[in-house]
Amino acid sequence: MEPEKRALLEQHMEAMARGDGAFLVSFLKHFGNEIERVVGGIVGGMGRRDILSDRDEIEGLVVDVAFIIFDTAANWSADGALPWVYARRAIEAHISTAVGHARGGSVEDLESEVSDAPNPGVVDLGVEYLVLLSHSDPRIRLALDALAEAAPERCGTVFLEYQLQRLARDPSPSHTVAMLSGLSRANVRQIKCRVRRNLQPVLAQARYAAIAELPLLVA
Amino acid sequence: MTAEWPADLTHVCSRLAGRLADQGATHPVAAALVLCARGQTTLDQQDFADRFELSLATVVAAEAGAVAWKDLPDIIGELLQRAPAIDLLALADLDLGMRGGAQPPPAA
Repeated sequence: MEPEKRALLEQHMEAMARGDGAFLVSFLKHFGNEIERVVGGIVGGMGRRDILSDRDEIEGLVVDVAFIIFDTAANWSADGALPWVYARRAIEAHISTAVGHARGGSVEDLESEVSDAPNPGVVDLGVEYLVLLSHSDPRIRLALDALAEAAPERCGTVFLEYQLQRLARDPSPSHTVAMLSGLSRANVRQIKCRVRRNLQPVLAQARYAAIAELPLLVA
Repeated sequence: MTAEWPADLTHVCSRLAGRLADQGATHPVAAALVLCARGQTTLDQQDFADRFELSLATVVAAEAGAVAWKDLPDIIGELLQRAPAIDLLALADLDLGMRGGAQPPPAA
């Protein structure tokens, strides 16, 4: 993000942190396209092409997301991830509830997943989307297979979430994943390092040659 | 895809009005309209008041829902007319509904 736009973003986040609703409107005006891209990515990842092609639905979701960012603005740090990255879990949870999955888990399943999660607020939706993607993308399926060989499921999930945040250019993925998972930042970093170390010999196998350089695993 | 945002202020305005109503505002829709108008300018309350020669107290009171739609400064309507789209008739209905149909709002 260009410095000028970054400064504009920080101005908006500061104002919204004070509860200034006018800046929510202005935020949409200046950053609506960024939010729309996030919404489109999440909705697309859920396989809801019907929603993607419905302008009213998308506009409604973008406004919903702006309100989520407004409500979390007071906890946002200018040194951290972009607001729509910082609030991504809440955004994903909202969109899942609002539109549901075209295949796989229902809204009820997702709600059950929230209530059954070992740590409040942990939904693992980002990883869930990868699992959905794996049905149509053999490289993602292979990546998940490699990860399953390298680490226990829970550690693999933390690692994937870390990588997703990193690929989303979150400047502090360990902070974000720690906040989302209830783990300490040190734990997150340890898990990331351990899984990455375990992945190296796994990815050296011939069957994983196609994903040996996959950013999701090695970035 | 790059669009002008917000594409339609009506939804944002009604959402803001709902929140203001929950907070006990007497005129939540009028307050939301002022917020939407100021949101078009990206100015804080003081700068907005200065720019449009309003008193800060007027802006604060209007945004708190203490001013009826019919009593809002004219500049609010002018700013909203410059917005990409806003359905003032729908919002007038909302205003009437939120105030229990006590008095019909004026034409914007």
